[in-house]
Amino acid sequence: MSWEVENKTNLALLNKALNGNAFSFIIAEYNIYTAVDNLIPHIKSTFPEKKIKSLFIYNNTYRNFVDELFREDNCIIIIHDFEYIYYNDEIAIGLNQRRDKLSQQKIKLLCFLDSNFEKIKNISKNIKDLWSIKNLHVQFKSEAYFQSNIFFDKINVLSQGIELITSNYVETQNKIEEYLNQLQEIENNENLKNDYTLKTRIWLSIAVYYIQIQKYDEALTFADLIYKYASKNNIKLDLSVSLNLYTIIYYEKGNFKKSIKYSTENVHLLNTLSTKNTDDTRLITQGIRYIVLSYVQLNKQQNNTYKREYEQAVFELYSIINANEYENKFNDVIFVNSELINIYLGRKNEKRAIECMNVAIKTTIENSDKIDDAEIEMLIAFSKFYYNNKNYSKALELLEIAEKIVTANQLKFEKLNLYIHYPKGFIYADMRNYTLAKQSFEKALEIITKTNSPEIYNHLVSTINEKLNTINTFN
Amino acid sequence: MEKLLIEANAKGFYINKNWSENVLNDLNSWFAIRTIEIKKLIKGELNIIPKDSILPDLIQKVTGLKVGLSGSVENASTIRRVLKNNFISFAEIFNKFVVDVNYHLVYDESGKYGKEVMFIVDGLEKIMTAELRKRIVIDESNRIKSINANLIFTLPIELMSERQYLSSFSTEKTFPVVKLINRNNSEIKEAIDKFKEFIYNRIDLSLFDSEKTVEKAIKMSGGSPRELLKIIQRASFESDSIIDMNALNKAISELAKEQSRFLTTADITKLKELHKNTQKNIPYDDIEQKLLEQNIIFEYNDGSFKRVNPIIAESEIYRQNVLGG
Repeated sequence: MSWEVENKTNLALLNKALNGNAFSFIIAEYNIYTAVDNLIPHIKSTFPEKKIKSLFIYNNTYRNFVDELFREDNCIIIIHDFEYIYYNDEIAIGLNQRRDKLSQQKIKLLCFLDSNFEKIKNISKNIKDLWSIKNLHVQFKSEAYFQSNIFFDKINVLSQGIELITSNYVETQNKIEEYLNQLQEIENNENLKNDYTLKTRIWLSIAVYYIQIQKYDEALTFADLIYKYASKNNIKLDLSVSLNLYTIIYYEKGNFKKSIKYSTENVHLLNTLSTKNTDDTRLITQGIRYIVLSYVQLNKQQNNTYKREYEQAVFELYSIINANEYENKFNDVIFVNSELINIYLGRKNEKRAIECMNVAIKTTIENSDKIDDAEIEMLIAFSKFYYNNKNYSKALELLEIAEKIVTANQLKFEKLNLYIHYPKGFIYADMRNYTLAKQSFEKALEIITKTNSPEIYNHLVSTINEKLNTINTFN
Repeated sequence: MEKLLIEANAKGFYINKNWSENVLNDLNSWFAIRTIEIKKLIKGELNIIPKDSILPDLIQKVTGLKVGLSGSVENASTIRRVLKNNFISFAEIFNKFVVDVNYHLVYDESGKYGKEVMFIVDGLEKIMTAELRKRIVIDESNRIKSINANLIFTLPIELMSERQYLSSFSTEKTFPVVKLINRNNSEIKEAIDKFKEFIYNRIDLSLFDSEKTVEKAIKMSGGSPRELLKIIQRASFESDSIIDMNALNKAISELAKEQSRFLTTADITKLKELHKNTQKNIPYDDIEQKLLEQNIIFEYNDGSFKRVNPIIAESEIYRQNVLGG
């Protein structure tokens, strides 16, 4: 089904909101970046007579942003990264305060917003006045689990709504505070103030903690300190540490090209180190993993422009993994095989893709006591693949494996149970086993009710209820 | 104050009035001393009195200080500090000034300018943060009280929780949304008719399939004009030609999904409580305040009668959790 057909209703609403000259404030929420890639050409072709202007919040100042915003009239202004308003108080407060002036402009303000429940909730609070005059909020989402055709989006789709860091946020902030105080003490101590080994260790800890609480700009300051000192004194290991930090920070900030640049530099540096021990191999594979992940994101944003580079990185990773033995190698084996599946599916080589899938499944089962959420999510995504191919028994088998692992590690994976029972409901419904479908959906609802914040699963609840209603009519 | 001075000056209130001149002289001296004091304290060269101004001397001084407040943070806080430290003497002179303006208003023969000075402090919601807004209203209340003039403060809804404190020196009046339905569920025809007028002044009746559709849209607005316009706009997006019942129902269902998206378990509990007690008042708390701010519930009468936003009542989550359980 083409993208236009799939999003026909939302596109019709959007076209109406963009029509005419009066001010409109429109939110287009998406969970897969291709929605943005698809929407912009659609708008251009639907409104060929209208001027379209792009604006970005990321790395922008309030002055520059509003000057650009108020300069134009009679045009569609697209803000590509509206979610960044969450991090930019200056623009958030300014726009909110100037809401009335803004609404007198003859512009259509189309804001793309990355779908993240907590973020949207906070944005709506931070810019309450502006949010209240929203004319339209459309969601371009592959929301129902089985509707997504993009295989590599499995983690995005499944992680949606799962609280990642909130429970440790305060603790992490306290840690940072503690380290910052230590740094202050070191600076005031004549004997310690030139102890760069100690300072580097603290800088690294602070940077890592800031990454954990998603304060990437602050993390960057400390990565810079490590980088500057290490490059000035040619301390290669510390240099590699800072490059690794840059890789992660820029990846998280969504600057994938920079992430690739630093990761490539780091892999090159690690290759030149004389002691190629297992730790170095692990770091090299980690570096290439980031390169692969960055290309995945860039391909999503730019319609597979970096397909060749992505494939090259995956195969490089594959050959390094095959040639070396190191601790916890299974993680990389699973990761590289899931990427290989993407490549082979893209090449329509389903046979080879299934072989890779089997390697990944086998490795997961063999290491079921050591694996993480991502591997369970992968099993669920594989199940989706079989479901899409109407191989219901294989799809169910994979969910059963996932369920077994989850049951054996109940505390660790409890939240994933939902994503096992939810798709099971769909599979059974398609198999016309309505009793089991009902049981699975009810189980999913029960899990949602037991969570700390059931409201974040509202979208799943409505889909389940719709499905249950349909099932009840069949019964 | 700047506005009042300009208006009074424009109306010629101070021509040949000896007593007025005294009051103005006092005000002028006060601002002159403060200006000298501030100039000594601020860093660098700062001409706080705009050049080439055609306004009289006092207005220039007031405007100058206002311009200074929008300058650097450091200078602005110096100006604020000086004004705060001398507020008691200011209030004394300013109160005389208000009395004087009132005198002129009462004896103005044209009768065009009203009877007394009244200050309206509006747009407080545009102040940067909720914390700052609260500080202005609460921390400055002693200073506000020392001005003897009629003053209307339009409070952002988030500050309504301070109503008990504010009522110790002011009269608190709630401007609720328009009540369309009584507690006993009977419709208030007069209010619905007013809303019809409100719609027809903006949208031609021929753009709706029938008056029934208009009536339903009005009822779904819960008496909030903004909600009503939102519903009609969404219905127009959902329709290919005129707004009919199908388009309206689709709009209601979509808005219900959208607006109920962030409801929490605590919100649902509060909504259940509200649903079970339609005939009586329920105790006020933070959750209720949040629901009011988010237009999840509306208040009517003097604020004592509260109802869920009819759009929220249409949502799946409300039906299942509030009506169903």
